[in-house]
Amino acid sequence: MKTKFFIIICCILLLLSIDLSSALAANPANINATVTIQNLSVNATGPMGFGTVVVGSATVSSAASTVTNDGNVTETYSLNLTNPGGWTAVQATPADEQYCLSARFNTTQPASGTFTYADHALSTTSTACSATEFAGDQTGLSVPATQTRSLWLKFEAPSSTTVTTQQTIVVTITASAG
Amino acid sequence: MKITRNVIFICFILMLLINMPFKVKAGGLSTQLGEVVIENLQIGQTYNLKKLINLQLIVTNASDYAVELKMEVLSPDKSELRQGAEPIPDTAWVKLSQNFFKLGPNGKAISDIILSVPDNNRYLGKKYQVTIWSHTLPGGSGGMFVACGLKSRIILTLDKVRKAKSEAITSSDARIDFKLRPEQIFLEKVELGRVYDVEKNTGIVLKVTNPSEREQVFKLQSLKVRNSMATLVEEYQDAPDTSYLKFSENRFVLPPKGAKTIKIYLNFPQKKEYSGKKYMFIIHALAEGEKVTTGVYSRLYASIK
Repeated sequence: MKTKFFIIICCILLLLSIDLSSALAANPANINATVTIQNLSVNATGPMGFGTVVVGSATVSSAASTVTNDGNVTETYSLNLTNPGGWTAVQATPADEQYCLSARFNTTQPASGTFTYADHALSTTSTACSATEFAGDQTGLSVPATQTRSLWLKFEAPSSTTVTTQQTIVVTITASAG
Repeated sequence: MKITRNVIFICFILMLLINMPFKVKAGGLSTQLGEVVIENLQIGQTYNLKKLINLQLIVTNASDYAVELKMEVLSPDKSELRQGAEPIPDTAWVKLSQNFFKLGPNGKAISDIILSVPDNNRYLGKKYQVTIWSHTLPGGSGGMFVACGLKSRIILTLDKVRKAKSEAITSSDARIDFKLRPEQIFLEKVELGRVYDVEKNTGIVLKVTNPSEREQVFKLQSLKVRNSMATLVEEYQDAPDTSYLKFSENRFVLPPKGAKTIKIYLNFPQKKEYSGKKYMFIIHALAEGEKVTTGVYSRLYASIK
């Protein structure tokens, strides 16, 4: 019995000594700093025209915003919007004082029916592009340097509104490396 | 009642979206800080990155018109995390010396980045990521405007060992603003069993620029992606052997404001396993300092014939 205790105590001491020696051996390390991506740049055209819009209707922009990766590295875009004072963006059929703004990367003007709420509706939260998110026949995912994408917007107007002042909606296209 | 409201709305929209003078303009932003990784910071210390490594966040208004620009510190989304980093526990760890700017065409927004790590042992050895989002603000009224933004990633690791406060390094004469260009090199149809002279085949050479006012020693090395702080790009495999990528010089001295061009050679041995594959190498230029080592990356992508 005594022998067992002795062995256990020896083992514990051994483990402690290993831990202690490794702690003593560790030294504070020097600081290393590496800029792994040096040049990030994005360019986009705007504002975007919609032509005539009536309540409860859906309209696709008459022209696209040309988004260019004019940096030196591959970039992925994220999109978000800023609500105007009087309306709130939704990712569904808009009700009173609501609107839905959707975005889709496509070479030519997409048909209204090709936008889906799940994949294309914008919100105030910045959402990264993926193989499906905001995708048409182009995507905002891993866009190589110097390449351009055409971003089309679809505006679904409120079913009704009491707003009588001018409204401003801002779509922000944010580039990050990768 | 509803008809009246609809008429008002139609008139309003017509005024808003049709009659406004749509003059399409191109606007943009650029920065030299896409991603920086800073290793072995100490808990309980405050670091101004300008004093530590001569790094500031500089964002240029690439539009030919004036913009308002805001910089915001954000906790990254899960999908944005890189290299096994966790989101920074509190964005209050990062402060900017200035976060709102009015910029003319080609104007620059310059802000110091100040990192403060709380003095708590639970942060020892951790790796965190934080995002600084620089974006333009709406410049007009009435209509659908497009704004631009850039997300700069800062990844920091905290030393596993606590240093005495007096030993902690919070400033140095190290500079991280030297340049390594190009940042990406794509090579096609690289033949096996032959030395591929990158300049001869593509006209590309590496250029290292020392923007500082003092002489600086630089080293060049090739790295496997897994031994670097970069992320492997889809469709590419990690470099099988870093010795396949060679430079005309690996160590050189640059005078103040000096620059040097370096030739690149790729030499894949004649092995069937490499045929038709795509490989990614990291080119690492570093300036070794007494207290702080700084470096920059380029990436080389090789498609083997």
